[in-house]
Amino acid sequence: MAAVAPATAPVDEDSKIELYKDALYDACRASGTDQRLFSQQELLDLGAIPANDLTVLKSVLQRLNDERLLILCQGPNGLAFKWREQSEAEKYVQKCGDQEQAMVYSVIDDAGSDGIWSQTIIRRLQMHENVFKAAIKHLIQKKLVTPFKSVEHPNKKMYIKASLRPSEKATGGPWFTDQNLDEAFIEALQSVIYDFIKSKSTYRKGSGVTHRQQPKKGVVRGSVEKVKKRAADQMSTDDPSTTKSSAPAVGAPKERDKEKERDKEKDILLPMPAGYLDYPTVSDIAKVLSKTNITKTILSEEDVQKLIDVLIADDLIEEAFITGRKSFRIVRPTQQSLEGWAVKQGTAGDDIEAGPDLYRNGFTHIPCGKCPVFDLCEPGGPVAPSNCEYFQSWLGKE
Amino acid sequence: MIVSKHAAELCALLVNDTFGELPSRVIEALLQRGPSRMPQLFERTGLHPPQVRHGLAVLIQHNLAYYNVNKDTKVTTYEANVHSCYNILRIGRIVDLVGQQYGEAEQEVVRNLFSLGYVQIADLAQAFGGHGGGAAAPATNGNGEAHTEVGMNGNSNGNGVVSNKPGSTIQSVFHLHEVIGRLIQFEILEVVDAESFANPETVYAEIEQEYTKKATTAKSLKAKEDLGREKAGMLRAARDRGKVLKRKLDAEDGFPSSKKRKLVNGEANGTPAPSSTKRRVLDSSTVLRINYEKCLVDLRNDRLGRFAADVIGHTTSEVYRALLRLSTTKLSRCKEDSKIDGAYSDMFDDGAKDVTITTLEILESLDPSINLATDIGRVGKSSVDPHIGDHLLQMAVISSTEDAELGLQGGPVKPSRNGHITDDELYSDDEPAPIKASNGQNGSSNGHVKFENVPSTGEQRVELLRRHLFLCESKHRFARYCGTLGEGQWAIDFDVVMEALRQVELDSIIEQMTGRRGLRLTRILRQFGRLDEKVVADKALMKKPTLQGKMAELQKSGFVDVQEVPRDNNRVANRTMFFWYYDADRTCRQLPDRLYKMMLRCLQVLEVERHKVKDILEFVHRTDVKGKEEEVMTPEYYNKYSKHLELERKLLGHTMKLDDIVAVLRDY
Repeated sequence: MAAVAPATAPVDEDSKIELYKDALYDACRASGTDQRLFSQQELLDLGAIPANDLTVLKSVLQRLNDERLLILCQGPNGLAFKWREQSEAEKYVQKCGDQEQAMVYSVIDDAGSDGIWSQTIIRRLQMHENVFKAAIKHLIQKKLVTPFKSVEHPNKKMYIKASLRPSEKATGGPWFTDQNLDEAFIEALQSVIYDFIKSKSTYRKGSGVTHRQQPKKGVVRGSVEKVKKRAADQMSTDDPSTTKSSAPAVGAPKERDKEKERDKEKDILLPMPAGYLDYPTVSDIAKVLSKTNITKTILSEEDVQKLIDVLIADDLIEEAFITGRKSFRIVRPTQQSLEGWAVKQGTAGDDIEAGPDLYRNGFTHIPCGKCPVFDLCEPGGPVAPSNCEYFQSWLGKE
Repeated sequence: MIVSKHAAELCALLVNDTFGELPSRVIEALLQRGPSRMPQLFERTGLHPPQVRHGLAVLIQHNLAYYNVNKDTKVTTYEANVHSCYNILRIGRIVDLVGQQYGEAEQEVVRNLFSLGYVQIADLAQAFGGHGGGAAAPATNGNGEAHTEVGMNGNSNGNGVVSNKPGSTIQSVFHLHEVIGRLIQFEILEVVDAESFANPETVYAEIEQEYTKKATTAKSLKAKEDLGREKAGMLRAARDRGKVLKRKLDAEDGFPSSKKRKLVNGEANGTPAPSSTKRRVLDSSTVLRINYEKCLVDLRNDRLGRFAADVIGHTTSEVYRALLRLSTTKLSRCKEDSKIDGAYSDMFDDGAKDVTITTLEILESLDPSINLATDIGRVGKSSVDPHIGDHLLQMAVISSTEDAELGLQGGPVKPSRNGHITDDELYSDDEPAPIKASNGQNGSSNGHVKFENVPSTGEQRVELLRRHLFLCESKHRFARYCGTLGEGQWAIDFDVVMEALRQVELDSIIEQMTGRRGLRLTRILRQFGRLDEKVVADKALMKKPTLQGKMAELQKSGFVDVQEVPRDNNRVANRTMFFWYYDADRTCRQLPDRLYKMMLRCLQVLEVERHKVKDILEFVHRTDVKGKEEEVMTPEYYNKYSKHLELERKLLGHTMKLDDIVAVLRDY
């Protein structure tokens, strides 16, 4: 009896710990995902450890750790724990042949979907390169990890757990196709977004509008003599285009008149009144993109925001804050052509620089603005205003 | 003042074009060698003493050179006035603008002053009284023909001063005095006295020195304070010396009809002043010249008007122009001098600070023929924030209780009045109201009922006007809404708007030189500051190799630069971080020189072209040919001549476009 007791006590102790271990593990699983961090106090609070005995907890944690069911990590207030899936834990125990493999695997496992560079593993584990190579070879054979390429570090050999897909950070998100930035795709999306914002943030004015009007002589109320029909020619005299001759106030210079004539001929886009509430927001744009089925890639609002940021950087659209709502509109509406960017792109072929009209001042209108030998140009020198070929062709000679 | 090589060359070339070779050689020496005395000038120009004196006379007559007599040694030093020289380029533009804004008679006077330099009113009266250009011309030392070149950019004054008969716009001496008086009140003209020929910088420096000396002797804080105030007063007095007469005229309400005339854009031109007003005459011995500072203010207004037209729309820009006109009536210069305007500015009330204009004032000054219903999109009332004005005011900190009270009163009134203007009326953008009325008269009867309910057109116009003004508020901060008095008060923060305009010009240049991708990169750098290449690539969604190429291109053009931050003491390349950054100020300072060079090349090419058709031009300048070129010349030659004119116009036009950029970057 006396001999049995000491023998069973450790067994009991052991199986008790085993029981507590399972209880704690299940309690952890029940109370949060595998991303949740448990502090020591939280583990105790789960109530799986009798009387909150810290020595028992210690043994239980030791066992859990040995079996790779619990991951130790740095929490906000010191040491913290995360639980690991049973099947994952088994990989360590069963598939990793030796300690080195388990170490390498755990580092790769920790890196998660971002993956990790081979050199980082070696440095972190202070491992010899050959040992690492042997370990990683084994792990790859066992289909535990897999090498892949990250867009951020295209020349580095990266490893990732075989069961995971590389994260957006590693693949570059929706903008990358086979680790290459898909510029044509981005450009196409931009043009669609731009055209959408354009259609939503401007008003298309019909032709036949004049900026001048006849001075009003007060309110016209329908009097009897005026109701009678007038001949067509009488109508035309009321046309505002004749106002110019009747109104003596032609202080405007000729250019402005010309501008006016031009405006009359074509439709133009007009800005919306201040305080306009229906400018599209990011979510509006994201919705339109998903509705139009322009791409199979699913774009989140952040992705769309990124495209919009680029459009803002291109000085094509601007933010409009109206009553606390962040929305977008195009810049210089009256100067933009009516046809969409996407349409233009079709006609422009491969020229991805084709796009909306930007403000151009006179800088490159003369050859000097883009002259490759501008710095050399001096009167009397080999390149001089007197023998400038660019100017000659610009002036229409030769 | 230190001038870059290209600026100096450009100035010399402009003087050469306008006033001939002699003054040009003198000014070249002055620009290149700095302030000089007479013997030095002989040496540096290689001209005979009488020639140099003639040249200097022309320069001083046109305010292109300053002189300064040393009090002790009685030696005169001459110095180039770079700004004036450069401003020759803008003469045509200024003349044009004065014509638009103030009227034809004013334009005529200004045009003559440009050809004469500074002049006594009596001489000017004689010139106008003498009928025909002959009387005006002799006073100039330069050759009159030169104005052809300068005037080209304006479209009205192709042949310059001399050919226009002054008598047609200025009828009498009284009229002339009236016009001059008005121009003085607008600060377009300023009075010249003996001290006006000194470089203002030197004058300011002398005053500063004097007071620095005095300040060392002053012991108490109070005495120092007093000295500081006195100094500020002296500086101001020195600067505003030419405006004494203006102030006198303002105080006496000298030419009362001026205000109205200005607003209606010369509509009343040629009509003699109403006989009831007493005819004032200015002192005929007063000497006048053009005040470029004020002209620049007007030019800036014009530029901002064009900017608004580009960014927002035509009608809004007209409204904005009216606001600009009203807010700058008392503004004397575009940029404040920190030395003069900085300290103790509270002592002086020149009325230029915190100008607010009410919507009603704008309405009054707006050309009534402008159709305010155009150029804003027509939308349903529900999709526009009806209380936008209140929101704006809430955002701005209203300091004075008075304003807050008004805000409370004014707030609810507007929306309720909004209520009974039907959407259709207010948002009608395609057809101005008169047309609408005629439609109704043409048979369809439904128009009638509506008209009965429509509020008076005046009220509607105010509402439409407010719409345009709010639009100005919403983009680039063209205007600032700052009160509800008189249907809303408006102010313009010129610093803010000009910053935006400068940005736009810079962006445009960057875009033109390096493409949209280059623009994208610089704008990202501007927004986020210094960035690593990887981050830039991520933000710009560009491929690394393309990005690197673009960055190199941008760096070569001087728009962006790279900063190296070594991670350790070894400073090896692979342990160093490289940050790209964009410095707008530096770009702003560097670009003008490039622009000077471009303008210079334009004008030099023009010179070459002129040389090529020298014989034709000489022939055309003969007095018996002038004016009837087409009849006298053979078709072949006439063809050549008109082609040359075309080319001249093109080159000068583009020079003016470049000047536009320079003005934005440097002067406004």
